[in-house]
Amino acid sequence: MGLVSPAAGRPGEAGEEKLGYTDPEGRSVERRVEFGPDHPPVPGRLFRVRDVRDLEDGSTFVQKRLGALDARRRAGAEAGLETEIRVLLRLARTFGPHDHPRELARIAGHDFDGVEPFLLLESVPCPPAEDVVGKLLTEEQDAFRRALFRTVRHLETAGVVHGDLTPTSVRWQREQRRLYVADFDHAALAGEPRSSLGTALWAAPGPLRGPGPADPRDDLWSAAQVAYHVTIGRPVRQGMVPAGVESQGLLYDLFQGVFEVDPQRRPGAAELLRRLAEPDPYVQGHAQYDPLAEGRRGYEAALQRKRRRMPVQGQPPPSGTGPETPPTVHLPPPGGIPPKPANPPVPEPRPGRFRLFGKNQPS
Amino acid sequence: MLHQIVYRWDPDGLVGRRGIVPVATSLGRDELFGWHSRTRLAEAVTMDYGDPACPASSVCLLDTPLGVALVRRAFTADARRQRLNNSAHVLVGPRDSIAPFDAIAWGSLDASAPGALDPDRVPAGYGLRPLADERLAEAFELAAGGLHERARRLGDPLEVFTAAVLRRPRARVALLPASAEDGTALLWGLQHLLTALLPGPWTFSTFEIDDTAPDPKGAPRFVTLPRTPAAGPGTRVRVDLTGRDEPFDTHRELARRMVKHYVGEGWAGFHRLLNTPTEVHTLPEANRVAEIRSRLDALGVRQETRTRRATTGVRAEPPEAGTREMPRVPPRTAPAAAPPAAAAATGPIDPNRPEVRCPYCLDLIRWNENDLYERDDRLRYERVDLSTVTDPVKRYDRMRATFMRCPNPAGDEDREHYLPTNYLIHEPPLVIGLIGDGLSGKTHLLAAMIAEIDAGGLRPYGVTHLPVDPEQHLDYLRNRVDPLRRGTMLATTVNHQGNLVEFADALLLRTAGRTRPIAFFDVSGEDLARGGREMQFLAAADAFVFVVDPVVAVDLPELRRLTGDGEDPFGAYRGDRTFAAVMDRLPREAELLAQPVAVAVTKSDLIRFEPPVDAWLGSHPPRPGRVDPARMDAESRDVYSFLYAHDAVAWLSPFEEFRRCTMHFVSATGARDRDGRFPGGIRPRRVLEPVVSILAMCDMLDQAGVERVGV
Repeated sequence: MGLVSPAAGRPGEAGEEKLGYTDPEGRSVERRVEFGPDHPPVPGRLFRVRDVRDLEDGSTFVQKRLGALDARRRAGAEAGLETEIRVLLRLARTFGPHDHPRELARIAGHDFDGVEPFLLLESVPCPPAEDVVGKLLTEEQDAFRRALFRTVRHLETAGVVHGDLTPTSVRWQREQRRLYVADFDHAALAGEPRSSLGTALWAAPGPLRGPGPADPRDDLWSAAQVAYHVTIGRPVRQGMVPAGVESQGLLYDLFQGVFEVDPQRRPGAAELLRRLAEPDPYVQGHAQYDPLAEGRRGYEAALQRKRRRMPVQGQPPPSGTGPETPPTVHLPPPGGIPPKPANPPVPEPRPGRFRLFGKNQPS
Repeated sequence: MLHQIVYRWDPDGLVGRRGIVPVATSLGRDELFGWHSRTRLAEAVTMDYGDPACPASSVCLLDTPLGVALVRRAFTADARRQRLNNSAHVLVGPRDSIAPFDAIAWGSLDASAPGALDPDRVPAGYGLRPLADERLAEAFELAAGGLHERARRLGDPLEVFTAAVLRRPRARVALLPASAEDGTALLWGLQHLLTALLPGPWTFSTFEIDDTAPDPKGAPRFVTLPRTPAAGPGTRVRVDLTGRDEPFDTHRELARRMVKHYVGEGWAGFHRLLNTPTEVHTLPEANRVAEIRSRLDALGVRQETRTRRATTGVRAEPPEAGTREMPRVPPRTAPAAAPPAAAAATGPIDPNRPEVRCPYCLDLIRWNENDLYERDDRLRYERVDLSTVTDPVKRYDRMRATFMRCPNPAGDEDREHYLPTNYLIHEPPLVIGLIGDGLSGKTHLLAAMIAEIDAGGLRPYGVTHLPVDPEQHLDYLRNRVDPLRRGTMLATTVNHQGNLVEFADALLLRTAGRTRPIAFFDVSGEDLARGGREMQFLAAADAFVFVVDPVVAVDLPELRRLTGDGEDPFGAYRGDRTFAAVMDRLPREAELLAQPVAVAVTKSDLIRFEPPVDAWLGSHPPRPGRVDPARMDAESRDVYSFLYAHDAVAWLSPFEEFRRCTMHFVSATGARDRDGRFPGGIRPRRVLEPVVSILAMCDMLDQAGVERVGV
């Protein structure tokens, strides 16, 4: 009360302002709100964060907005904010209003076209996990690990790569044993090119090496680092297996294969949950209704129709009816090396990768 | 392989006689004696030695019982030592081993000819090596261009000469008066003109003073005389190249037209006359003359129209001067009654330039150097004559800002229109039309595209750009791009009101050694929907960008607040009226339309968080500067499914009707306007994707896999 940011719209009554935004359903909303003071700035974060209280129904939100930034940093901050809105909306659409995991930040509204773009999050009072590094009791440590890998599983299911799981973005509320993951500004959809590198200390070797497609198993690496650091209290090493993990019998078993450099060789989050004897929230997969699937089929059908009606050079041969590629004959090489099998074993489809909204994720 | 003999003055020589005798050869002794004594070779070498008209160099092709001999004579008169000298380099070979074309070319090159020897310095003896046949072919390559140019400058004598040969095809002809150089060029032109009509070998000499000498064989032989000989005509037809006593008959008429075409249209045009649709020399011999004549008739009709329009359009119209607006063109200084051959000889229309379809009148035109204009700052066109500007640097600089008045050969367009020189002298332009209803965002999209191209957005693809018309481009940047960059909304495109529809901007794109203009047309949706003759540029367009406005096409809560109140709620189900109007207008040669097309969903920033737009709008290609057909296919599929899922199937008609089509989510401004301004500035997103796709589909990108784009 009273600490109204001068940049925030037109004040109505004292301490009371109108805030217009778009809710996750796409509707325009205008509410009477009052703003709290700016949170203390976090080093490395470009956003200004403050609490917002809706005066009409009393609910509280957290508003992340771009502060006064010079043009160079503003471009990056805008991209981060846009990414966060985009990914959080994707999560909101994927899980719907009722099944949204409580571990994941939940968007309440956004306004990206205004003078000061902002994002409204539902307020969850959780301090960052770095506050409790090395302080958790054994039982609490176990709950933390379970919650963390369950969250990674949720993200994997939604086809979202957080990209910056750190003791800061992972929050832990000791009393309720509630884990909460925020700060999606380095996130990407799985398979997309990674937008930016999160905090380097916690990043997997792939993102550290350079650009490439976002992989959910990079989150697994970071989550394991965070779990190790927060529960054991020992420091981690950038891009490497944490020192001393082999002496931690329980964690050593749990993290078997997690710190592989090649993400394909890491176990999935579902496997981690199995090792933790934690029920997988998506054992049967998470079948989703894809409103775009029918349109995609229509596209393929229309394209086939066009190819039939007017063949042009460069079009792919019609599937099924066209000239079959002749079967390759495998002659034994002169060196006596046994030939490779004609059909290499198809790798098992990894659990948890579903076609959600958007593109087919290239593997 | 051709043997060589060198003749020069020698007290002894290889034949043991004093005089102009063989001194060096690649032949054996017996063969040399045979050539020297049993043919007219010696006579041909020494012929007219000492005549005052004797040129420094002359060429002679001889047909002898032993074979064919090509003689290049060099004549030197040393005044100080009071000595005349005549030497010769002779190539001999079996019959038909030396073609007249090669002989003329080799002889005309003098000492620079491949394999040429200096006859005065060759060491005597039998040590010469034979000359490879390729040397003559090389000589042809070297000399052909220059000889062709020289022949084209000799329009009048060539006409007389050609007429004489047509009149008596098998005759031996003496040309007079003519110098050896002219003779060479005339024979070259004659060979061009008559190969198709009169097959068979012939021989020639570019310098003789007497034409009474008997020719050994019946083949036609052409000799060039500097003056009329005293003796009677003998067996030869004498042709007076001044044309004084030559009759005007049908042969002369045909010769005149052929020569005019040869001189005026350049090699490619002449080649076309002879070889399209069929090659004349493949027809029966009796039909060839008639065929050439009918082809010239067909060409003549077009030519006449062009010249008539050019003269009526350019010369002042004094009777109507009061009723019409001031003639914008000063009267042509050249007299109208200039001899046609002389006028044509300057060759203003270069047939090597491409035929370009004028986007205004749809006629096919060619750049004409004699019809250039410059635009002054009041946008009036002033005629300029650049024929005197020969310095290439200066010429290039002047040329880039010139225009050509479209001759409109069909004569159906009354309004004068001008096309930039850059538009006409490169590869045929790529005309791109932006199609979409009013307020769909065409203008913003185009301004954003041009801004991105201007900022070098195509360079990663190996494409650089230059303006076609520098002033117009600057104008476009000033009036469209700069305001948009500053965050101002652009005004809607006004209706053309019966004016000529001009392209909004045009750029020269250079890629992999090719240069091609690319012109963008942006007209109001109202005009597009109404059609009319003004929209005939659509027929000339090579590609289209169909602009889908999601505010109209898609029913989403976040878009609903943007639609106006008075809009037809059912319009969306019918799709864009301009799409249908354009597609109905295009000529259909196959089941589907063949023009490459890109569909751009504009204003995608308004739906940027909507799947699948969210996956595309902020995305960057994994490999910048590489066209990825699979990625374009994936995006097209997502656009299709997005429009499909939101009941905007009618907007997919371009995809259904055009064979090659890609679809894209783009945003010209990256943000929604607030009261006509973009407060956060503009951030164009993916606006070059449609351009890149069209360039790929038009084979303008030098990359592998472009043929798979949009199929």
